[in-house]
Amino acid sequence: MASKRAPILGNKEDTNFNEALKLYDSKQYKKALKLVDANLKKNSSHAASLTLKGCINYYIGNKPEAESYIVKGLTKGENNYIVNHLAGIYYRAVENYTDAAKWLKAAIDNGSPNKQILRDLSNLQVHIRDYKSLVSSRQGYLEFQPGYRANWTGTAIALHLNKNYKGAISTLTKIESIIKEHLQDQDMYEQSECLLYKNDIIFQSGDVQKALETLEDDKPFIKDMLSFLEYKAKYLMVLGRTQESSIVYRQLIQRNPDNIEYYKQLEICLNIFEKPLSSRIKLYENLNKFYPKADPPKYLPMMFIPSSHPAFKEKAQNYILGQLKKGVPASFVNIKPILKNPKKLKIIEEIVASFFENALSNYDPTIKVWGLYFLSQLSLYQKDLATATKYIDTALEHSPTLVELYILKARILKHYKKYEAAAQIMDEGRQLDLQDRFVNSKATKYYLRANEIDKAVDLISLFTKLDKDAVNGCKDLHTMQANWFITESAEAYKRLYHQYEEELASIEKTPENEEIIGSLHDKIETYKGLALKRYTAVVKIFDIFFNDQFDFHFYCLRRGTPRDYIKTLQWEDTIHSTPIYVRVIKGLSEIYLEIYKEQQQKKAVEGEDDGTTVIKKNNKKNKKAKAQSLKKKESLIAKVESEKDDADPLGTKLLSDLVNNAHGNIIDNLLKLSQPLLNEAKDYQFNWELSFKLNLIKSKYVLSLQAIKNLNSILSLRGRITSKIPQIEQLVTELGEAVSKDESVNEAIKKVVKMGLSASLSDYKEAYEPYLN
Amino acid sequence: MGITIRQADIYDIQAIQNANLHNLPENYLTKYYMYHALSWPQGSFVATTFDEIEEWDDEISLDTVTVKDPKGDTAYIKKGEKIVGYVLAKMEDDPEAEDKTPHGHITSLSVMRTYRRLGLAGKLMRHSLYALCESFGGQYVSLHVRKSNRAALHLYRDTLKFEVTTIEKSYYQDGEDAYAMQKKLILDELKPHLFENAEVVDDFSQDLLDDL
Amino acid sequence: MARSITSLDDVTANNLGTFKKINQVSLPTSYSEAWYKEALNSDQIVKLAFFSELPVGGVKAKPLNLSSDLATFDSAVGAKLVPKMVPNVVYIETLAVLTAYQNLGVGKQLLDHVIDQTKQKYIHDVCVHVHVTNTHALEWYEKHGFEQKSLVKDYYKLQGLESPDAYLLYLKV
Repeated sequence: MASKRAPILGNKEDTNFNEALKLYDSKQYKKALKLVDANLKKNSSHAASLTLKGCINYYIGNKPEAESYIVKGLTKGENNYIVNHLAGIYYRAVENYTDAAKWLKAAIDNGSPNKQILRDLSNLQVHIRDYKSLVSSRQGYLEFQPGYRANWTGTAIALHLNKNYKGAISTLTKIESIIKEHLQDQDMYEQSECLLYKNDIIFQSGDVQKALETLEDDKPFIKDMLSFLEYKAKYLMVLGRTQESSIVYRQLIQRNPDNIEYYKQLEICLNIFEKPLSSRIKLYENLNKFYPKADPPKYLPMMFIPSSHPAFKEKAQNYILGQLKKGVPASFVNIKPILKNPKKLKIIEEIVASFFENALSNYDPTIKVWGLYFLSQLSLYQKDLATATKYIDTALEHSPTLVELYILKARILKHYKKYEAAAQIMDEGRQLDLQDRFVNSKATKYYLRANEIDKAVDLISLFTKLDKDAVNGCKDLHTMQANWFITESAEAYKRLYHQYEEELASIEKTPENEEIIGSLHDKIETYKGLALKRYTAVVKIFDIFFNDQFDFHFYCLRRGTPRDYIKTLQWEDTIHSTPIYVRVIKGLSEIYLEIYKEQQQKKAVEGEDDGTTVIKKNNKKNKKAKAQSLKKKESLIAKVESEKDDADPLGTKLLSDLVNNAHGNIIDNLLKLSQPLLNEAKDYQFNWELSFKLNLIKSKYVLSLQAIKNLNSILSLRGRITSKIPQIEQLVTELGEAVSKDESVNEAIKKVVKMGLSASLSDYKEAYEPYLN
Repeated sequence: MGITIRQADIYDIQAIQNANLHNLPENYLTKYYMYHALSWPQGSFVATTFDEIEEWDDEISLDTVTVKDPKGDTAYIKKGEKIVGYVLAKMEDDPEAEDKTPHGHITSLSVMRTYRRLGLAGKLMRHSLYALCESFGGQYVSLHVRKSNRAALHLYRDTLKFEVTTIEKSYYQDGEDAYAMQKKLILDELKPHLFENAEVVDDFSQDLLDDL
Repeated sequence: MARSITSLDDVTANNLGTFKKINQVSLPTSYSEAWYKEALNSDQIVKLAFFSELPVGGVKAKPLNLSSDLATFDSAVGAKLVPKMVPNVVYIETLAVLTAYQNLGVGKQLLDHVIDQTKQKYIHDVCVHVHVTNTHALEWYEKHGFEQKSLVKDYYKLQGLESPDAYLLYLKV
């Protein structure tokens, strides 16, 4: 990796170093280390040797020591490009991409002749989103190796990311003309993708007419006709040529009549909202003739035809009964969005009930059971659990081999909060079809909901890879990034320790109860640790998701898929808005806040007798019990370990570090943890609720106010709902009260909060005025 | 709202991975899904549903709308939209592969059990086959299916007209044999609307707002 | 789906639970885990019947020698073909169809399969025990050519059934 041509060598140390570097490059770390050590014996401040020693240490597994050598090396030789380069390599290896970029950049600036560094540097710069610096690295590398299309694409991407559309377009155009004559069969896919990429940039630059013309010119080279048509339809629409655009949308529908998006666009092109309802109905009847097997032509009319119009009943009847007769399990969930309209719900209820009473005998028995299945779901939807149960029990008696019925029965039991019974029913269904992982997953989930974690893990392990010496699939599920399972496990552990906390609270603190109290404390600690451990595992998996893009920074340039690469960067930039991630942060934040509250309480009673420590001491007296609990712990670890040789398999350290503020104040840690959500998941109420709470604790009232404003915008549908929202009223009151009570707060801040409230939340005047005047 | 079938993109891969983990014993890391999405972006498709689409129904008043955060469920891509089926496809890219003619391979296909019998697997497959042929010049496509998986065998052999080429002994980790299957790809025969069996075909000249 | 509305398929380790469920809800007698495991052996004639892709019926029969002890339910269920003995009868242990799916030809299809297998083994007799009070089953078997051979006293005695006698029916194939 390092330069073959080192700087001018003046002395023995440098010669030695050069030799060591060669050995290091060929992975002969032991030999390299010997030379480096010899060097440092003579000259303990030989910067390059120090840095190389750091790198060698890292690769021979001496990781904790590695960084100190790198740092020493850098202090002695900050301007030495070999030192810089080695430091860059080191920091990239430890995934500290920011410092890696910094030092590779320094290597270039300090005159390293090794141009390959530019390639590594640009990968790092795009990874840390330093788009500004990216341009010159990419351009530098292109100058060094202009013979590869990938380097032109890379430069165009860098310009595009800086919104330099013109530069990006001209770079892409230039390579197109250079390469034109030399294109071979295997290059044609890349050619097509790059043309479409350029086209998209032209569109983004605002020159839609030019984009359309270029698209038509390039058509013979385009292999992705779906994109071609989608671009063309969009351009025509933007240009106001709706008649032509409507034809292209029709072509798209012909390619894929199951994509609802095309129908929406077609409606806009046809200006359907200005036309009578009958035209809109006719449109879909015609489309249904062209595409009798597609869903949207049948589905959408049920959405837009008003309940009072006779066509609604007709369409709904055809749709629902058609699916029931085919035995479509999803026939109910498919129409769920329509049920939000209570009038339509009523009509649908009548349709199915009347079919059930009158026409059923004409059909085979499976129709009856699917009908019962539908009706049960409809009752469940309306929260009529008794009727839902009646229907599902009848169905189960009728067709006890139909797995879907068990799934629904279990769901109904879950609504009754009978979690154990729900899990058992789901398991009964599972046993009918052991090959189906879907129902296995459902049964696993339901056992987790019932807090029967061992049983859940045993079940799901029927489908996981069993690592050597593993007792179950827990490790494999972590390796395979099974976030649903890990999150559900975390929540189960959390419910368990809450349960034990309640139990503990209800027990009298007497000497006779010491043993029980001690074991409850143990359980609470264990399960709280495990809950943290599982939640944190998901956070770590998302770190992996983010770093997964690293290899693609270069791969996509070579492969020639710039469009999807750009999309990938955007996706990674909002990856923390993934619903499961928000759920995990929510769960974690609750534990953090519990611990914070305990810390506060402890502070308040500091000095008072603390029962727990005494009990623990007593426990220690009993050697036999201790040995027993150790053994129990070992078997627990075997069951729950999430990675091999985990130093903290039960999350004990995670928990104690939080409790003891080992890595700083717990609220600061939580703020840091939730920061990505504030940037990436702005549409979630939860984020702003949390932000409000944390900033209030930190006395950052202006940020709390900002959180209320954001929350209000979400809850009021960006101002479309004008009535007062109780939750906002509550938070405004809390803020007002906190600010007025806080004697240390400076007057200027008070003023800012007050002005902010009256400027954007004046409807809630009565809530804050008593506190701020 | 009903089911939409569309090309998969990078935003879908977490939910695809989730569907795969729920439905099948052969699982892959996110990075492998990224590799598909960034190497053959046209090849993979998803079936999704939407929970909420009030804007289509004027009768639903805003007062009854309660604003809720997206469900923290791994099946969801974003608010209201969840993945219920997918096909993950690639071109053969093994430099050691014997056959050098460009051909595709179906890495994974599954539909949530509760969304069966809607013909989704068949539709997903058809879109993927069409794309592999159109965008990548795939001349045929291959796949593996568990010997005991009758439903899948029926789909591939009877509905999609694949042929069994060989039986690969102990192909799966648990020791089960696989049928290796293939289908020749001819673009004109793969056009998705051909499978609609419609009496009338849109020639783009008719007025859609009038009687045909 | 192009598949016909009723069809038969193998019983496997994966769907054995379904076979069990059908017997549990359809038959007054119960069977051991070992008996169900035995259903996976290749010498057994075992099938599941599907109606519109839903499993609704099942059969389990086995080739025996006429000298086997079929005097009680337990001995019949436990009866095995002694090695070296020539099988000369196929004994139907269970043949069940869910109530809601009767009279749709499912049972007939299962029986036809047994007859087919019997012929393939060059055996000419099929026999079955039917509880004396189960007139529905008696009529059904007679409709399909079975003849009452004998009354077996106390056949179901240990199963605690009321009127524990059974008829032994035969079919020549």
